[in-house]
Amino acid sequence: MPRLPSPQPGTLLDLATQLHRDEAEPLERLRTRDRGIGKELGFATSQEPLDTPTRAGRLTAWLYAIPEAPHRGGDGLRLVGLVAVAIGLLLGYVAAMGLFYYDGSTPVNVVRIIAVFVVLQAVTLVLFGVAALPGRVPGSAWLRDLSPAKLATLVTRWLPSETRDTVQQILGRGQAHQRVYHAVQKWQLLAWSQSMALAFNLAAVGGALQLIVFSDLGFGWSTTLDLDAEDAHRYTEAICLPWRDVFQGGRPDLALVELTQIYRAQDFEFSKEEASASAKWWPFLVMAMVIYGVLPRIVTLVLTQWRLRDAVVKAMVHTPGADRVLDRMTAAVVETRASEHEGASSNSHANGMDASPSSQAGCVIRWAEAAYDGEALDAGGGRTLDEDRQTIATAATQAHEQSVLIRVKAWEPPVLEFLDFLGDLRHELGDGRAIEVQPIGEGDLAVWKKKLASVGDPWLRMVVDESGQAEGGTP
Amino acid sequence: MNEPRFAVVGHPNKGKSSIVATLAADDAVRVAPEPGTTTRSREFPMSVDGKTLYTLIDTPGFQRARRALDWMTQRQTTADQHGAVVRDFVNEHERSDAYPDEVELLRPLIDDEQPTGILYVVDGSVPYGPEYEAEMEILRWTGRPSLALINPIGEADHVEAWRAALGQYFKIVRVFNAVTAEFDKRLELLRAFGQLKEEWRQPLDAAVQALDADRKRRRHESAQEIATLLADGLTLSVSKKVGPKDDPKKFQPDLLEDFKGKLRRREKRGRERVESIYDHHGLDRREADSGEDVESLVADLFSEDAWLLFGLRRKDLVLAGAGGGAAAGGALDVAAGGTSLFLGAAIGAVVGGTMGYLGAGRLAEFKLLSQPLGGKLLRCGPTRNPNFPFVLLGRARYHHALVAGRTHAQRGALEVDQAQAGAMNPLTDEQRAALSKTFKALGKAGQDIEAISAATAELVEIIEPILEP
Repeated sequence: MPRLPSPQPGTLLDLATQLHRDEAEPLERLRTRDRGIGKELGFATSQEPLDTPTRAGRLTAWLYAIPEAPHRGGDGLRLVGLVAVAIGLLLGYVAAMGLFYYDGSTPVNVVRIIAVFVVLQAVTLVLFGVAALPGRVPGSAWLRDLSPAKLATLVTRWLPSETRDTVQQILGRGQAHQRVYHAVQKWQLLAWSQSMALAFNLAAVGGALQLIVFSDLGFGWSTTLDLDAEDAHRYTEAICLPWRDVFQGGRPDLALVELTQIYRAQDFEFSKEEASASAKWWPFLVMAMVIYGVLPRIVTLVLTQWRLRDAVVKAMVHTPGADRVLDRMTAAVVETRASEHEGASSNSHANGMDASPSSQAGCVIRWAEAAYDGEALDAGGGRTLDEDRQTIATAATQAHEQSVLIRVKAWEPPVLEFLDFLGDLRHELGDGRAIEVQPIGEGDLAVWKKKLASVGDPWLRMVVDESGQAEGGTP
Repeated sequence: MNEPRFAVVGHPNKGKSSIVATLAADDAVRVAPEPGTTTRSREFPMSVDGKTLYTLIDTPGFQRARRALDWMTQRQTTADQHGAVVRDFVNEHERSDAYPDEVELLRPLIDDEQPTGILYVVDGSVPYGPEYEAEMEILRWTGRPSLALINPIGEADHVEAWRAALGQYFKIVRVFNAVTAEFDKRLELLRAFGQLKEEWRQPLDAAVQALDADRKRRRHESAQEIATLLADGLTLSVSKKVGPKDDPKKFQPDLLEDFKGKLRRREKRGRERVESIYDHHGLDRREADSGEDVESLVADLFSEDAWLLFGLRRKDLVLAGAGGGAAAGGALDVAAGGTSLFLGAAIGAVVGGTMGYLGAGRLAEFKLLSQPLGGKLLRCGPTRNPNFPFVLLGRARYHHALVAGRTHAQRGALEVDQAQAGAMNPLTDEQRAALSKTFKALGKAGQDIEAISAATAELVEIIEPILEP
């Protein structure tokens, strides 16, 4: 069996769109189409229960196999992701330019850099951890509203309507699949926020390196807090714990910390030696930005992408209608319906003739042995055509100038053979003599009226008993 | 080997098209009281994954049988020539207007490359008459394997007279009511087709097997639909944003109507899907006694009638283990201090004896939720009424029974007989308990789609067997 494709968040949107389209399609067509795809993809004979990833993979393969299926669900999501990255890059670069700004008057304050690239990162990582916890943490709903990815999603307002709809669907603004997409929404927002955070940190590192390489920076540290050099050194020791044993250059010593402390009241001016010594801060700062900014974001991004993919797989399988698709791919199509449409009926739509009470007939004919107590001639039924002709000749003679009454079974339909008989009788009687047809028993008189009217004989009429009903009899 | 073919022939208006519509499960077949509705032969191949196992051919009725037989008898030589005479008849009148119906219906029967069996259809509710003998004689002349079907269209019973007459012309005579035939009867008839010729038995048996499997698959799909309906019904809630100074109670009646409206529409959608699964398209649903077009089946989802018919009795609810939930619901109701809504006026007194134990009159609770960025959200539902899912299931089950049992020859609205609805097989204690447990699981699932899916899958397992007639 060929390897199954891996579903992406966009696949989920395409699946929802295709299933929605399918709702308007006749089930027979869907059965035939999906069974065909199932056979083509080699799924047709599988009867074993399938695990969730396999089911999602089959659904993805199915979606790819439908020529008219949408394949644009990922476009909007990718665009929002790119915007998130762009915003992150921009903010990171601007932050680096601002925090590492040095015009020779005041050295770059290491505390600010630590605050933004270590402390703030740690805080946002904790928030990420809370948001990523399974289930809903009471009182954590505001976290979602504070997600930086919300910035990126603002871009959806300017997307083409179709793309916007798909993105908003996954963001939970579409009600239809809210429940199914819940986890996907969560991990998609977190994935975007982590993409943005990683971009922010990478741009910040890049911006910082740019300034470090292409300008001559001076670093110092200053805070209003009651912090002496020894305290500050303890903090720097704690911060560089992850790399201090392997990269001594990124570990500020106490002397550097003491040397570069700046006081507000002090007229600041580094000597050449001090300036040279203060520059030793940069390896520590860049390492801090990489270790506390970039690396955790790589980990969280990988984690969110993994969880997002898992959520997508589950959401695909749980999307309403998906299980029916999987079933249709494996179930044999049994067809019993006509291979072509029925043509229009050739029946005339003429209104039926009026029925009136029977007049005094000169002759009575029983057609196909319809019941009659009195004396009558017989025609139709088991008689031969010669016998019919004989009856017609006798009737013409017997009836004189009076009408001929033909008793028929109301429950049998007027077939052409009977209409032929009427034609032959008319021919024998000539114009002007009345022929009355009296259906007896229960039957559809409207059908008789309509059929007799279609003969177009002005002296032909249908008669009923006084009550306007066909006379009683069998059945 | 060519697959078996069967031409459904007979007098006009004796239910040939009804037989075809039922056996082919095709409600697009024109069935009308007027003779001559079918003017052309139409093929209905039965295929499995594109492989045809047999073909039914709907044909026009005999219109000039005596005249046609007269033409044939004038050319008759000996019995071995009868088939050739019928062929000559068709060939000679192929292009004339004298016998359009006879030519059309006899054409498949003279095709030696695709041997076709005869299914001769008569109406067993009208008396036998000699006018049928000419057409039966013509069919005998074709020399094809044949079977007679007595299709009682009306209420009168003339089956025995027909059986005696048909027995003289046909080796096999069966009674088959195209409009009311149960699925098993249809399969039985197909097996009888296989008896007409030894080499037809195997494809007909295969067809019966495939149709049986297909029927089971449809029932499984229906169970999935009903389980999804129940899951949706038990997890549905509607909400409305409420301003800080607004009185939430003011919005409760409208919100409840919205909630009920959504449930009604969901139920309707479920019904349409089940009808579609059984290839019934655009069915009207109406009450037998009202004669009016109404969308709901057995009255409205929230009517007294529906709850009386399909709700569980108090004792059964408690036995099913739903009482615990009901008791909890009652406690919540007290705690909610009247913000819960009772359907007392609508159902109350009458259903009181039928419905669940404590707080069972309640359909849905209202909750006022704080919004993260300020403001309040008034939410109605999901329902905690222990009897509601049983009512929903009962209605779905009854609707399914009507749809699955309906043949494609039936025309007109899906008619409901309340007595019949009430007489449906009751659920066993075990089934009620299993259902109640799963309903509770759905109630607790909240927005957890995996829990909902697991509970829905369990529901399918429970519902599928109880959909069996």
